[in-house]
Amino acid sequence: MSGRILDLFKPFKAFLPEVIAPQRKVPYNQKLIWTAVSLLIFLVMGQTPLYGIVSSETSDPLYWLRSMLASNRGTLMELGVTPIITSSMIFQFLQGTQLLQVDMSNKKDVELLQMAQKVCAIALTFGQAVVVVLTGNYGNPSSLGISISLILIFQLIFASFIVLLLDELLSKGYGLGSGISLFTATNIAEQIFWKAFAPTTVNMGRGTEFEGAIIALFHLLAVRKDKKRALVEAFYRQNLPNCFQVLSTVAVFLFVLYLQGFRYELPVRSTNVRGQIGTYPIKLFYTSNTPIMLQSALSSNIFLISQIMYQKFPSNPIIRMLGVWGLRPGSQGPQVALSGLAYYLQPPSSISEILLDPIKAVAYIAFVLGTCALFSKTWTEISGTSARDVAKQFKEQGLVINGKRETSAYRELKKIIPTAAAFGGASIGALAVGSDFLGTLGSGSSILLATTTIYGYYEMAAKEGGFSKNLVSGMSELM
Amino acid sequence: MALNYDYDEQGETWPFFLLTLLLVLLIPSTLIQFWRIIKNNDSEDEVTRKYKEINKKAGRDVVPLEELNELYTDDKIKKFRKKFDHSSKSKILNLRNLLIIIGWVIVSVLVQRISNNDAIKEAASGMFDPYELLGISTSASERDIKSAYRKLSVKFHPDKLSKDLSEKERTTMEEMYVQITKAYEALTDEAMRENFLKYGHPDGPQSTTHGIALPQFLVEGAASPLLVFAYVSLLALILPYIVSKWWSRTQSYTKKGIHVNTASYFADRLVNYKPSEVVTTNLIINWLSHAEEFQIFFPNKTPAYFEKLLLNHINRVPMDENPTDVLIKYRIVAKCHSLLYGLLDIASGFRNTDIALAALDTFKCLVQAVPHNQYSQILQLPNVNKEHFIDSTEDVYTVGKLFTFEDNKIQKMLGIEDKDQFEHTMKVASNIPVLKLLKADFIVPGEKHVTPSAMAYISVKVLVRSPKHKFIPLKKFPDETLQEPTDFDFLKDPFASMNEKPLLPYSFAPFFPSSRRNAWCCLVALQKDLKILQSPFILERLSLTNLTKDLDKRVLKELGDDFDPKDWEIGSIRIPLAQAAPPEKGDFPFRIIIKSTDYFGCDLDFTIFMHVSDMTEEEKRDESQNLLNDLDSSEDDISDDGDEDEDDSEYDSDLTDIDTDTETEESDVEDEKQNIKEDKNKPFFFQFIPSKK
Repeated sequence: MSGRILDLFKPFKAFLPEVIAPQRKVPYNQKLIWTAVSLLIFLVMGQTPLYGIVSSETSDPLYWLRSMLASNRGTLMELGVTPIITSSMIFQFLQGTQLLQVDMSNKKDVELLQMAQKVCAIALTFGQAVVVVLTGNYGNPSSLGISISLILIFQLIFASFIVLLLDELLSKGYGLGSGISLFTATNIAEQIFWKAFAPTTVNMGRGTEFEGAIIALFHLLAVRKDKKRALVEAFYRQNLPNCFQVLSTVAVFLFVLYLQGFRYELPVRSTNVRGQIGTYPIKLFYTSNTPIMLQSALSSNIFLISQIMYQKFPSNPIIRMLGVWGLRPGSQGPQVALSGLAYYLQPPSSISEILLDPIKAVAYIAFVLGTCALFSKTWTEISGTSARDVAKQFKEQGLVINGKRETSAYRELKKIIPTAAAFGGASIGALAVGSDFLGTLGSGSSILLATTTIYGYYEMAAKEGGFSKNLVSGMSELM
Repeated sequence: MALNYDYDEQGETWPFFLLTLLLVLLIPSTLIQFWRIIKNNDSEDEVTRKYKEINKKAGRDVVPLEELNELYTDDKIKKFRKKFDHSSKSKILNLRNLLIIIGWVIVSVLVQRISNNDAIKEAASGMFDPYELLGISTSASERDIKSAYRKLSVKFHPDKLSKDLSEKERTTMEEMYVQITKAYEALTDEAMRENFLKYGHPDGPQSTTHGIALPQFLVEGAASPLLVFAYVSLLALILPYIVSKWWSRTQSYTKKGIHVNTASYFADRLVNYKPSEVVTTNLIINWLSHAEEFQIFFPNKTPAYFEKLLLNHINRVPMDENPTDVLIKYRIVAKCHSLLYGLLDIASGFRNTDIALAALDTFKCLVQAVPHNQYSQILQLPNVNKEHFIDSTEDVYTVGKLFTFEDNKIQKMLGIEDKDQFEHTMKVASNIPVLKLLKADFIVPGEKHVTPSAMAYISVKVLVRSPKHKFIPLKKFPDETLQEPTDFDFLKDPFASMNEKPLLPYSFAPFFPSSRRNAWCCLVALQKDLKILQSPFILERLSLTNLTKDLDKRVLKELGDDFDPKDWEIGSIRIPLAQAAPPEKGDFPFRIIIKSTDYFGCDLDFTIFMHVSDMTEEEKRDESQNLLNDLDSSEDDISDDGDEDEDDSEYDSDLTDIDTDTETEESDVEDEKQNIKEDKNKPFFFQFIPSKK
């Protein structure tokens, strides 16, 4: 019955542009080039301003989402990868909850599913572009005029369409990995580098200061007379990125890389092909960065809804309970939640804030850790990596756990996988909280996202380029 | 952000930006470069170096040939090697260091500029600094601040100023007083102090201006078209050019590093190869001379010319009259290394055993500069008088046979007059690593024997020995020493442990234009049709510690009881099989050829059987027994170690059922005979035939 829902998308096939899957395996070198070119196009789009904007100085309701969604304010990448992520999440959810039945072994069904996702993404793009323009993000639509508004909408749709095709190009085998995670990670990395090395300067009444933290260190050391105070200033200045943040970012990055190596290796051997012995690694980060992505998607959606609602109905008590928004006293930065539920879900901005409101800190930590563990565990069910699915996979491939009966694979896996998923999710959450407390450049979850993606790319490149096999242990190649 | 950025007009900030970027790049690269210069960075890796150290401590010199090689190498070749080998490039004078030095020069210029720039100093002094205004140190206590303020306010207070000051002086004094008061408040008043710490000014946030650290001349004025031009050329011209250049290079070379035209020429030759044709090294040399690489190096020369040069090299024809020819010869002979590996790979792809073997023989000929004939083994030694030796009546063709004679006799036979030279010759001869086969098996990790469709590998146990060593009968080595390990780490990747052996040392090859290490190519052919099964496995790591043992067969007549097999290092060669075992039961003969690329007379060529059989009833029962145990253990929450141990012990006892019988049959063959046979490469010669069970 549900097959019919998918069939609804059949007629679109004739109209949608599609990237033709490569006929044969694309060599590693070629993949690198495709990936680099797509990335270049994406980066250029991320810097190209939209034509026809009057102003983009209004408060930014999407601020909390920006880094996660690879979007840049006022540029062609205003929407980033939002439509793609949203549409794939919708379909993942539908599939996982069995609302939409797709036979993944049937090639036609899979094709149809991809098509449906694409149609959905395009529809979402259209809707979001219209909403962004009409809500006066770039100036009041009535003062912009119809033609300019249409041009703006067209630009946004066109850019998102290109991103969609780039993502399809990469994930269909021309490139390494998926486009979405690549774009997101690049965007985050770009922001971190900008904060560390930005050549822009600010003068706020006590001399010119560099925005880039590392450049500021050199500049302050050279300019200020009191070197000790200059050093303290470079490391702890509050209003601009400081060197302590840079250091803690690097530390978090390295620590996550270190943790990526944590794995439980299940000794397995093949019964189909005797003599194939290897290990099936169950990583500590079993679900990789998915829990943190879902968690941040959840909290940013809450923020978004609460912020918009608060602006419309600032006096409604229920909405006030959800969140009261405003500028943090003494800063011109983005709007933050000042009280309400959103306040407790928002990361504390500094150590002093933790000390001032320990309840908030505890609530925040509990929320992040709990949701991450929960999401991680449910994600294994949805994505087909739960103990039962892996056991089934083992059976199909004739793998048995060394020295164990074939049927006991499920029991063994059940002992490990849910624990690994929940614990891994919680530790990812803890890392995100920890880096928020340390005050890294960018939010903790975005750094985790970038790091895990970069590590994933490294693993993939190592596997395909064959330059360092020992990072990926034996069985993953066999599978 | 839609803000207006000011460009850096006075050059206050952009030098800092440039300086930081430069330092961020320069400091790590300088440190790495220093590390490289300090560390003696050979092509040797950690394991090899460790082995070398251990041997040095034990007083064994495993690589005595390297010195001799240096001694016998022609100066011209040395000069060529210096130019050709990347590793011997000058460590101090190269492009990288030059760039680093330029970088540091720019840094010093920038530092100079910054320290001389008045605008920067002005900007610094224009800042509000309460400590400086009050003339106190930053660590001053509250009392100090108060007293300093009092003193100054007495001096500058408008009521206390003397009347005879001019109007102008008066206003500056008054301003000063305001400043001092502000400074005092900034340090004492709570709210103001907070403002000062947060915004740098006691009155709270000041108007902010944004700037960008780019010099104005870059953006406005004459430089801007240049900048646009630079951008366009970088993005539209240089980047595509570099990418396309790199692309065409990756496209025109195969994975093995030979030019695609060369590869297609080799493939063409192999397709058109008539089985009736006799494959000789000369044929291979003829093929090599058509390589595209040679044409690229020297476009106006013909293949015939290259062929002549290669033959000249092999026959050691002196070519002193034409120095450019000599250089060309060196260049192309050095290139033959990768060409021959490429040819070997293509020949294996065509499953052509004859060509593959001939390619390896050609390899030896080129490395040793000796033609391939029955005298090659002796002629590869230095100082041998060729005519004299060939004329001598003795039937000596192998180095092993040579060592059955007394020194004087050998010296006479080889026609070496000088005593030192003779000593060198003997040293080289006794350090040629000869492989003695101890045992060869097909092994399936984790199984007792080869089952249908299993993934097996070939485990070859060899003894590395010197030609001068007394023959050691196989039974001296107890079976336990020839077993494969059974721990899980080993089973997971049986080939990993081979990487723990040192790299083979540099060969004695004074005529080859680049210094090179020995290697053994392991070819696996089906005995049924004598065709190669898979691409060659190249063995580059093996411990040669045994060569230092003193077991001269001329001195030692009988191997005594004091012989201890533990003193001898048994080499393990594990050749991966690309294919699974046949799906049906039966015995399948394989021919294994292990051929050195550098020396004559140290090859192995033997046949082994793959016995494919199902699991016996007994084993099946064991396995289910195991699973029962597993069931119990998992319920009792006992770790599975116990089960595994049990597994292992069974594995041990049955491991050798393939060729346990062969060892008893192996008689004490005279090793001289063995040596002769090993190198004659008769296609149907089996040195080692395990009996069927």
